[in-house]
Amino acid sequence: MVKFTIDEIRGLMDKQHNIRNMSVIAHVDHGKSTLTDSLVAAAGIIAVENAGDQRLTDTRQDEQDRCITIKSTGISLYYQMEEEWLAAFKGKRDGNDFLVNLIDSPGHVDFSSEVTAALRITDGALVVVDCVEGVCVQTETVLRQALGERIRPVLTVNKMDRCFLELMLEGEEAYTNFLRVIENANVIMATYTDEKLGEVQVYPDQGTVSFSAGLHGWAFTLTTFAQLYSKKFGVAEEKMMSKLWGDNFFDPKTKKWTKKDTGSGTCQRAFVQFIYNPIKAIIDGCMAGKKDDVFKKMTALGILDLLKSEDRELDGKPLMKRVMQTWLPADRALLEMMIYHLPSPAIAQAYRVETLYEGPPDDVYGTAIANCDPNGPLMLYVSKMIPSSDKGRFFAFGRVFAGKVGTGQKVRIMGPNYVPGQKKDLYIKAVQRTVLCMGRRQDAVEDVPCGNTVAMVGLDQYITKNATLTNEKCVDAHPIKAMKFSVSPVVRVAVECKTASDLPKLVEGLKRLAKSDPMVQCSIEDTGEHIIAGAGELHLEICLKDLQEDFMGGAPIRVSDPVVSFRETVSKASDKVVMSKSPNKHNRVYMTARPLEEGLPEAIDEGLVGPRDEPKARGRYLAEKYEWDKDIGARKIWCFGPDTTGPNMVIDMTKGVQYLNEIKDSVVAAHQWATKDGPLAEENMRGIAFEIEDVVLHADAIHRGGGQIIPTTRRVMYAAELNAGPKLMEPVYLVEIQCPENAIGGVYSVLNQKRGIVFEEQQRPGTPIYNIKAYLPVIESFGFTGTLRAATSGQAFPQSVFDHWEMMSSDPHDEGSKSNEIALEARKRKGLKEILPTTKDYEDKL
Amino acid sequence: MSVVDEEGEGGLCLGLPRHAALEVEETCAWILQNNFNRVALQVPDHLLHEAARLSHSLQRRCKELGKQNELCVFIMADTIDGSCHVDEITADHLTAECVVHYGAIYIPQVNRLPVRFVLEKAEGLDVERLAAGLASGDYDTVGHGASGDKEGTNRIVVAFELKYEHEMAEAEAALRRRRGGEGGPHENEVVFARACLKEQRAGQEEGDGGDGGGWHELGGLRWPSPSPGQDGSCRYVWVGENPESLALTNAMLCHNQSDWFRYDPVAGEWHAYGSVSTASRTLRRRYFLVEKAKDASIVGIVVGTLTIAGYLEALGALRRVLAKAGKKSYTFVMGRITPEKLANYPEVEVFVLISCPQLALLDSRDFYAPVITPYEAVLAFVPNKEWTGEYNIGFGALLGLGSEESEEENGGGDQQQQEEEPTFSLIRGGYREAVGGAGAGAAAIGVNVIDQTASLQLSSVGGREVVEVRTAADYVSKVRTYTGIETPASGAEVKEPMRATEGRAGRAAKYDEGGR
Repeated sequence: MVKFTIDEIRGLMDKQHNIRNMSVIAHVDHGKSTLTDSLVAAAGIIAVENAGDQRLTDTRQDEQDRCITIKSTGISLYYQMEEEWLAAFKGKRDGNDFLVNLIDSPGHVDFSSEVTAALRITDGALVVVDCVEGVCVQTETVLRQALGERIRPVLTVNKMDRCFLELMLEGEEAYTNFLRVIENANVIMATYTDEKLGEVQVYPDQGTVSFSAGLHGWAFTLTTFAQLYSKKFGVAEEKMMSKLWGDNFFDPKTKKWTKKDTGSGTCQRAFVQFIYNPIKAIIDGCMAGKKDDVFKKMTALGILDLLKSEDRELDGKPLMKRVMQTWLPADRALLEMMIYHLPSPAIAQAYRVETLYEGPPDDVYGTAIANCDPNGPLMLYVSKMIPSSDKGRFFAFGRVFAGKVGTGQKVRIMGPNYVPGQKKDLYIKAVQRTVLCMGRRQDAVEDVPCGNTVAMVGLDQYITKNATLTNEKCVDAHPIKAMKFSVSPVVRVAVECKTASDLPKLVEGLKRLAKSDPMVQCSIEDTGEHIIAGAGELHLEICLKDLQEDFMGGAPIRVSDPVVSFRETVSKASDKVVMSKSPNKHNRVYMTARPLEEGLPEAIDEGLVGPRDEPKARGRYLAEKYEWDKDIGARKIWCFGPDTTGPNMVIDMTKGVQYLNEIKDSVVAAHQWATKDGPLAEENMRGIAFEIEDVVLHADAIHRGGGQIIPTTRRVMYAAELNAGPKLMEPVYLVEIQCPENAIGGVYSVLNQKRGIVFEEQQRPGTPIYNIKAYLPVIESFGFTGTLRAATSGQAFPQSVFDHWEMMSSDPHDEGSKSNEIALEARKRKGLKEILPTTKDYEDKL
Repeated sequence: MSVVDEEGEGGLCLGLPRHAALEVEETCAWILQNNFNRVALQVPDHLLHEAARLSHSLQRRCKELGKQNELCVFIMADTIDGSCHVDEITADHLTAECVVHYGAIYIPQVNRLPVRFVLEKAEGLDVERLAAGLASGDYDTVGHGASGDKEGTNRIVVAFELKYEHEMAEAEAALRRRRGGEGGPHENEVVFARACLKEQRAGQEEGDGGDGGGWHELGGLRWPSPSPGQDGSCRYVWVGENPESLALTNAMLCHNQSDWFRYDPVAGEWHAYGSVSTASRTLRRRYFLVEKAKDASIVGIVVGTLTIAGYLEALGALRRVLAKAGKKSYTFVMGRITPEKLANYPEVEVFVLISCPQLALLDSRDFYAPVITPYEAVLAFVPNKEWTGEYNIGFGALLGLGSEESEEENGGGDQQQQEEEPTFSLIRGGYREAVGGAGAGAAAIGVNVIDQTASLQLSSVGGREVVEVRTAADYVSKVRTYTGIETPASGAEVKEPMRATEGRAGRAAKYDEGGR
């Protein structure tokens, strides 16, 4: 009973003003996929009866089994609206048909990267918040990301049914509850507000907030009721809207509106009186089996005729579901928010172009994006790869920002490492087929114009995770900016195949895995171990399952215990200058190490300070923020490392050294090498400034070549680090735990046992639920969820996300200390000598 | 070799252990038989103190055996190639007719001169005990249950450090005695490896055994090779006390599907290693290096030998492979390979070492760029070659390529198509471009080649990581920040002379701060 054809959809794709690209985002388990079902049902893809049960966008078996979304899934929906319904719509439109390209995203923090990928290719977001649990940590994370991408949000307060059936809230209580949820969300939006995007806060009386019960498939906005009552009271719809929210009270006895509760028994808040209570009456009526009452009320509302005769035979919950769906269909309310309040691509791209396009916004490509010009050059961003039914192959899924992409068209693929003007990471290939994503199935279309999402076949060999596509001839186009993820892959496992001859299979499997997930990192260590790095335990679990079952054809693999990577740092400035001699004894390098100022490593991570800064600006920044000497900041920083951008640097503090320029390259090379494999456990260094105090060089160039200087500089850096109070840094999670009061004791004891530190404990107003925020070392987090559940009889639910690196207080050279243990274990794993080196091992005497 | 001989004047006394150890008798016989007049002795450092006496006794013994001409003996010490190569170059300079090589740790195939290898001889191997262990299968008890699942393994190869070679015949005999004593056939067939030809002539083919290709050779040892595909059913016993010896590592790598056991003659103990294919760090590390090599665009070929048979052919084959893979290669000749020497070429991303197989396996942790073996180079640079867990040392893999190549060229039409596809790099976690050569690739995909000046400007702004370097010249002009004082060709500006500034005074550890 599909209500539309692909041709109809294709026709609609050209009408930019009738397109909405939106993602559904929320905290885990707040009901995104369930709510999405209602929309899909309305578009006729699944039966309305099943809406809320099927979770069509959970396409994978494990998603269905676990009842969580793992991958974000796109679906294109087609709606025909009545003229009347659109009458109030002031924006541009072209006919009454609308196309919604919707992406359902996962809510678990471990899969945040999927949300990032979804946000990039949409213009609006439907933020779903559980009306009982309120705004949670992941709600905040995704909202922040959305606003960073200039995505306009609308809010829905979900799981209304819990208010009526589970908590049996009275009207006033419920109202304060909703008000709090909306306010909390608005506080976050205000924090991350963006000038170009403008006002993004949401208000029920403006129609940007809806109230929904995804499971039962009903929802409403104030408009729904305003329309109803405006006729009854003879008041303008808009005025009625404003009356229905906030401190507006009505006393049916006196028929007077007041701004305050007059205290008389019949005076009630308008929202309660006109909205909450009528719904409650119907629900209670259905549940209590007072069918006649319910049907009478429905007749009064004029909706009884819509209820099918067989539905009238139902009882209890099923009846309630059908009645509510008939009265307040979820798709109506949600579509109203989307169509009325979310921007069309034509509008959104005008202000998003700056955050999207890497090149100058006024060049031909930037302009085409801003104008959403279907006749302009192709600009397409592939944000993720979707496994296809053809094992091992992938669809490249993305959004056309300008121009058109069609079957057979030759496109220029610019990978993430592409640099304009070079040939690196650049391919020219033909698109075999363009298809539309329809949840579980895909339909081929001839071409797709800008403003739409699209999946492409035949490009997967050339794209790892994401890419920018343009026309074959657009050689001067810049790519679209890379996505910024809110989580980082800190949990790692080593995998190996049980039989050596399966190795090619493993490598092939890792390649596919790397493609299938925007975040996961597959790499090979110095030791030859194959490492899979993910955002958290759950993420890794899913990745490993995919790897073994789907990408390796079931070849057996062995998985190591999770390995956490550490960082090496220093805790104080070196107490003396250390020196190392070159192998030929003719050159000497003198160096000290000191910790970088607090906050500076993070600034380097975020790119606020880096090798590509304009030197003077960098000098000024460092002088202002960290009280550096301006000249040093501007001219004396030789390099950053590892990987030339890492949070360590070499600073030249020498004066009048001959030939110094000549060895700079060698020192830089040595720095990259040394900071990658520190002396303690061959982990990366972090937050160390190496200051070259003096250098003595041989007068003949041949005796001071790289061969002499590189190993020497590496040695002296090791000596300097070991001389400056070397310490290990461990990654730390921010954990948010929700639990009822009686479980708090259990939470604390588990956190204590796992070296966690609680820094915030808050009761949710109006609920017995507590929100606890704590820092938890990643290394202690394995099995944390399980332990916590056990200790609180399943009442506490944690969400952890990587927060920062924390220096471990113990001295790694102290035998038996935690750092010592960790360092030795890492050394053992890497096949190094199980003794920690000291300064003496790298320092030379004059 | 702690024995100090009680010897007569001018030479080693006949019949003394030392004399036998240095094989004076056999050597003289060999010299006489071939009628050599000028003999070069290559003596390792720890035997140098005996070299003079050795040469005397050789001369005397030859005379006694009736040699007419005066035997002219040279002693070659401090040879450049390390103690394991036969220093044919020096011998050639001396116009020697043959070389006697002492204390070899393995036996290479030689190129130019006849060579006789005199192996070191270590005492202390308890032959009876080894035989007893082999006969009873004692070693299995140390193995952690490895024996259970290897049903039907009925072949044990005994390999050993060359210094125990002289005891092996006896060990074999002892084992046979034991077996015979027990009566009845034993289910395990024990094969003793034998040392390769100890007396070689130039260009001589190893056809001695008469079994044709049925011999497997490795590091100076050879044994009848198991039937193809049966390697896994073979078990190996290594006799030697050093668990980290190169010879053992090589042998284990090459037969990584089999279970390995080691008998330590000094402690008299058995050790089990199991199958190293999955457990070995070394193997995994080598795999990593291969992966890394695939990412390299500048490759250095280091020739560390000028003597081993086939090195020139190997070099030629390697160059062809690299050129075909679109890599730029540079060739270096070095006697001893040290990290310092190689680090003088920071633009080279990976080195391939052509040297004797025993020394080829350099653990490159100390090296700035990885150093790989020719076999690994084949894996890395020949398209469609995949790491299957098999491992080889020596040039065999390279030399074998010649024939394959010509075949490929015939039907190479669709090959081209395939090559364009990028491959996945685990090091970068992304794709590496198809290696079709920089220029050709660009033209093929229709990229406008940006003019030279523009790319130079870009490099000076962008910094190191954006610049793609394909040749060493690129590296010097684009990556290196120091371009000399005035080199307009590379884009360096003519700098204004700077005023000399006074430096700090004193030692770096403690400057005289008041000095300025």
